[in-house]
Amino acid sequence: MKKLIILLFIISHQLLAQTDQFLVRVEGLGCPFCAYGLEKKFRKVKGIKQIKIDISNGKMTYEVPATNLMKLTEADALVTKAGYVAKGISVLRSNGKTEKIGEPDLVVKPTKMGKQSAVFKVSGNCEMCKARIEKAAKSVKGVQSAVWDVDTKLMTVSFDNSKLKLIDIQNAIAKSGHDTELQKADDSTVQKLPACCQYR
Amino acid sequence: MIAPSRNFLPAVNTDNFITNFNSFNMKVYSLLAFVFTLVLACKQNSSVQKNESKPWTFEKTIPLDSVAPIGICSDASGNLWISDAGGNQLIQMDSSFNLVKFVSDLDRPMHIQSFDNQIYIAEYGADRISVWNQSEKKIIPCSLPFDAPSGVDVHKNKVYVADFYNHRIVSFDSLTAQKIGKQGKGNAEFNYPTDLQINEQKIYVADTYNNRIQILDLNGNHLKSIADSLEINALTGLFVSTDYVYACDFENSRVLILDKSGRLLQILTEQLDMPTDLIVINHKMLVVNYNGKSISVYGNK
Repeated sequence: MKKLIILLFIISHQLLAQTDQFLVRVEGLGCPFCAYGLEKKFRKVKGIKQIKIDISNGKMTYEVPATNLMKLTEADALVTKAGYVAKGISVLRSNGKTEKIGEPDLVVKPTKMGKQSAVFKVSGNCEMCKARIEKAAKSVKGVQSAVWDVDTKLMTVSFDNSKLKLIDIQNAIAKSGHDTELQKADDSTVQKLPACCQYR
Repeated sequence: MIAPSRNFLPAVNTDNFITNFNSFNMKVYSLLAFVFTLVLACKQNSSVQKNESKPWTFEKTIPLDSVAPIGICSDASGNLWISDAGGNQLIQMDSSFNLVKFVSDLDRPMHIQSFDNQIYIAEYGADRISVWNQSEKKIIPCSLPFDAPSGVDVHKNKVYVADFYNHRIVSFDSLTAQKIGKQGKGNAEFNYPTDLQINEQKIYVADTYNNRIQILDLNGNHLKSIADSLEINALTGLFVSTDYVYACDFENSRVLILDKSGRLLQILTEQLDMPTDLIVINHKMLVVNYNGKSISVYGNK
């Protein structure tokens, strides 16, 4: 039962960590009062985060959990409700697909917006394991942060998904001698770990 | 000016005469003191007028690093306060622009005002007015709801607020709250007001997207609109002195200086980059540039 709860927790965390990235071109965003006003209206929508507005080009970006299934028309309605007009909306879904309405050249650039978070289980015992696991994760180019919890065995990473995939991080951790959900470590590598780190 | 001489008094002998003469002398003293005060006041006033009426010239730029400022005010000690909406904080600087401290945990602070040694803050993101009393922040309750309060001023213990998304002005104290105006283009109607200031029993409102300044009495009756023919594009901040009105023309990166009848006196553009607010203090005009992330200092000595 306990394992089932942990598994459900992990799955729900992973689902929540998957985000859709929206880019909206807003007409009439003249000043910071408008920009922060638009931000204020979007902040009230559950799940929306990482709102950034550039008044020089009228572009707003934000992330919303993929589980929200926010449609382009919903985003358009939100902009209208805030008192502005969306000239175009583009979204990069968590599965890599893109959708857009309005301005045809409006494209979400994952290189600038590719921050993604994920939570997964990693086997280990102690603080030494923690240091090794986090070091392995951070050694992968594009990983912005990596924190492993000794008690829950959960690893929380944030990374640029335009540069790497989640499996790349798990591979690096497995190579350091720790099993992850998707990648098992070699027996020989695990056996070389200090006695306190022998989790198998 | 000839001062009355005290040498007259010992020359008089009778008590009654002394009493009468003292009374007369006191009247002369009072009259002279009054005239002296009047002359001094006129002189000071004309000096202020004279200085402020001189053309303003650019002096220097104070960079604010990564801070995109919105509002500026000065307190009774001469310190400067700047709101940093992006950083959710206020920045206190001394009169030489040295950093003194930060006041954090604010939610998108916009225009600010100093009154009674306290800083009043329009917390845009939290729909509230708060006050920093030099040691802690307190929220000032109002019985009317705000939707993105953007500007604040205080007059006789009454707080006046530019209520951006409600297109109105709200005045309130601990007992009452009054709303002034609604969305529109007519008199005492507003289109996203961002700033306001009380001066000589009048409310000056930066009626931002009507691109004008509206002047109302304290009951909200429209008196006059000025600056409406100056092709302003987003009037985001204003400052009112004894004789002049200063307006920030955000999109055109200008500061306009008008007299109170609305006559345009000067347009400033040098080193301005999307200004949102300004103050005039000690013969200096300090303009905060949102896009320039700086303070432009102008002088007119």
